[in-house]
Amino acid sequence: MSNHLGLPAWAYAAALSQLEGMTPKKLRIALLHEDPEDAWNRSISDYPITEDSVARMFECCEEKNMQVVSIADPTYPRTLRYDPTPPAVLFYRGSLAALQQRRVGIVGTRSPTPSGVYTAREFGEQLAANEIAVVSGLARGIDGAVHHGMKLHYDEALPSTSQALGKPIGVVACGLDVVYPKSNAGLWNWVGENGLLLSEYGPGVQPEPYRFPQRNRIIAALSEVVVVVESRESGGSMLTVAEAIRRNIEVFAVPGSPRVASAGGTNLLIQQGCGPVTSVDDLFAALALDHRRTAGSSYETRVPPDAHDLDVLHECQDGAVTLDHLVLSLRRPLYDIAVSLGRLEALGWVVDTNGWWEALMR
Amino acid sequence: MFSSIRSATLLGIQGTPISVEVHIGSGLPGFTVVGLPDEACREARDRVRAALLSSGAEWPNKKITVNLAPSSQRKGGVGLDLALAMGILAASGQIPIDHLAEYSFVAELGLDGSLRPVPGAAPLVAGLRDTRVVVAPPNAREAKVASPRSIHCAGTLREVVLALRGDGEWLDTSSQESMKGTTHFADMSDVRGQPTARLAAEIAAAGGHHILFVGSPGAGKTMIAERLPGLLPPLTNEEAVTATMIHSAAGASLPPGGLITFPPFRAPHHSASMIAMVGGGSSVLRPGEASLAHGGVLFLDEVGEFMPSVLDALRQPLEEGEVRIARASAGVTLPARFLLVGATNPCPCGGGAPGACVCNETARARYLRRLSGPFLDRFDLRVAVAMTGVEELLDVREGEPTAIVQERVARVRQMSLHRSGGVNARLSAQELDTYAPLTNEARNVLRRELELGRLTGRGYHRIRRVARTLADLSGNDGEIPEDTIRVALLLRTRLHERDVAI
Repeated sequence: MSNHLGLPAWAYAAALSQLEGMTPKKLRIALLHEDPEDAWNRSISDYPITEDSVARMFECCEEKNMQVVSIADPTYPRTLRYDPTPPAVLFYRGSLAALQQRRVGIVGTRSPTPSGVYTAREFGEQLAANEIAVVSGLARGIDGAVHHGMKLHYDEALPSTSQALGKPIGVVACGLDVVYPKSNAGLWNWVGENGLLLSEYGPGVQPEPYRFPQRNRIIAALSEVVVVVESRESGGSMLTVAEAIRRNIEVFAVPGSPRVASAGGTNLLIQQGCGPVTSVDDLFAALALDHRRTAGSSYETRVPPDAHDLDVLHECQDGAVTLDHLVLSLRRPLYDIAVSLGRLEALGWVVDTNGWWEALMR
Repeated sequence: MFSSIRSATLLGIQGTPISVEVHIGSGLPGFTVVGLPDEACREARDRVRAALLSSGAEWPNKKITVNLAPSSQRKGGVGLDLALAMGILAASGQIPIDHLAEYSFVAELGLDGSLRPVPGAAPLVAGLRDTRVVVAPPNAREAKVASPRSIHCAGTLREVVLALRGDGEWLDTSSQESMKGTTHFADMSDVRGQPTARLAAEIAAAGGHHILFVGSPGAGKTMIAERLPGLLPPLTNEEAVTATMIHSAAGASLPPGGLITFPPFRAPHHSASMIAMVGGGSSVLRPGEASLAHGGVLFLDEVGEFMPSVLDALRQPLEEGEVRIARASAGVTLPARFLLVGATNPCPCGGGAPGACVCNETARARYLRRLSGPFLDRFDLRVAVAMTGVEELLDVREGEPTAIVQERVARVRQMSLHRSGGVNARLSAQELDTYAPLTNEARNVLRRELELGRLTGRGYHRIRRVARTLADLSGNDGEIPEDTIRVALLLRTRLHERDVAI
């Protein structure tokens, strides 16, 4: 049948992926072995659907600024093509060229400690500065924090130098037009504009829980190494790790205190043989890059704390402590400690969550 | 064959005089009560008949009509039983009417003719001025709080009649009188460690600041809250009488002396209904927990588990110090000036150090959402309470005892009374500028918090009030220095967690 409506092949591929009863495997085989349009015409004989839905899909993607690439296209990402379970159709915003950079996947828990957030943000900043793309899931917590860190660096860097920055790559578990979580909406758009926002799900698909493990396999597949910043002993990040190990992708973990539940998973990974990561240099080494090049960029921007406040800062360094703990262990009056904490917080050395104080160290 | 006996009925915490008019006339034998009696009043006729017969009196087999005047007002409760019985005795000529003119009667009758106590004896007696009031012996103490001289007591209906005729004596109640109440609050010395929570409790007591404890289960929130009323100064005479009236009207237990002299502590369960909390109910409009805590502490444990409507109903008393209950038939104003103490977990699992919480995102958000912003705003102090360390728990040294803390609290209360005529928590924004000026450093600290959006306009004033109390506690009557503001800020934990990453 001729292409009488003049619709591009990708619209057929996209429409095909949205058909009810179209399993990933069937879709993959169909797209790999025939033209999307032929596949469509053959498939719809089983359904009471007309060609309208292809046109609708075309308009929808145009309108919502979504591009489509299918597994048969030459532009389809190479890393995914040779994957054991590649997504047959990808919806994306931004540029697939982001995948040409060296890529690090950074994942973690959705309810991190402040220092976990700080670590993730710092990794994001430094990887962006060193032209390394970061793959993550745009979820709450660590995922959001790492891309937020990249954004901080973008905002700081001069517009002229932005070509040499590492790109953010966000892989999400719903349609690109369905922002989840809503609190990350700003970051979501930023990633689409400055890097690559990617999903295997078509417009309007809701973030149902079973889609997240599916999404995690794509994060793993797109990464050269995967870093877990903070994770419990079970959860989405551990599924990403399992997918990475299946694909023979090296996994690293940021060690945490054994007393912090949200570092339980990362410590377990280290016990099981994953490499520990304590600074971004370890990641350069893992990517076989010259890690000396970061030496210049690792500087401390914060004003050094007052000598008088140092013992309070040191007391906050081994995990979060309460005000009570500080008063009792330092044997200093509460007023005195309140002033120290206030100064340290103003300078960005400590952070307070529900009355627990934690030092943010490099 | 007519008689009119004085008694009283209760509305809120006020006794209203009632005339119980009894008419005995010819006609078919019967007994009717008119004048808007409630169910308990109407049932009185069967109790009164049995009580009269068992006391050896005669029941007139005639047409008996009882009117409760004024007829337009609804009467509730059982306090009219004795007046009814006396009315029938007088109208049937079994006792001379002129003996009754100077007496009022407030008691319930048992079928054997015994006098039983009624709730609200104190306000009922207070409503009956210029008469001698006969009450049941258990009511004697609270009745004397309202009217010390003119209370008479008798154990049975028969004794009442004998005493009225001059053939017997009233029961002697003077011996019970001078039992001075003693404080029963647990002592602060039991609290080990917890310097922050101790300081917060002291500030709350000294400045009258409402306080919310936030912490994991077992951290000691309830323990400290229970010791808070002990830090408050004893009630003034006027407060004591009001508190006694409220407790009496609600039928709550009173101390041995009858008069409530120590700040009350009320801790309603979180299933409490709105009426139980602020007062109301059918004809009598019974005071609720908010009024029972008048002059003392209202402690809401697991404050997030209370029905949101019940918590929001507390906003009026928190602002105005009284509850105005309006019903179609009547309206009353009940005093309700209390120190609100709340306790809550930071999340459903109980939380703990950052990263220890196992709740999912939505459950935690839903838990915190239960406490509405306007309600949370009423708390000047929001203190994180953490589990006491093992060292402190095993430490044999006792904490500072209540008596010493109470002295400081009393001194600060005296200071603020002289300065502004009330506690620091009630300083208005204008008064703050006069009585709580800030040093430049302190102002800069607050400016930064405001600029960062961590402090609202309302929070700004609350911080300054707390800082005033803090400065008073450290003996500083002048400008508020930086360290005081810093401590005040630490005692106002942010409860609604902002997304830390973005």
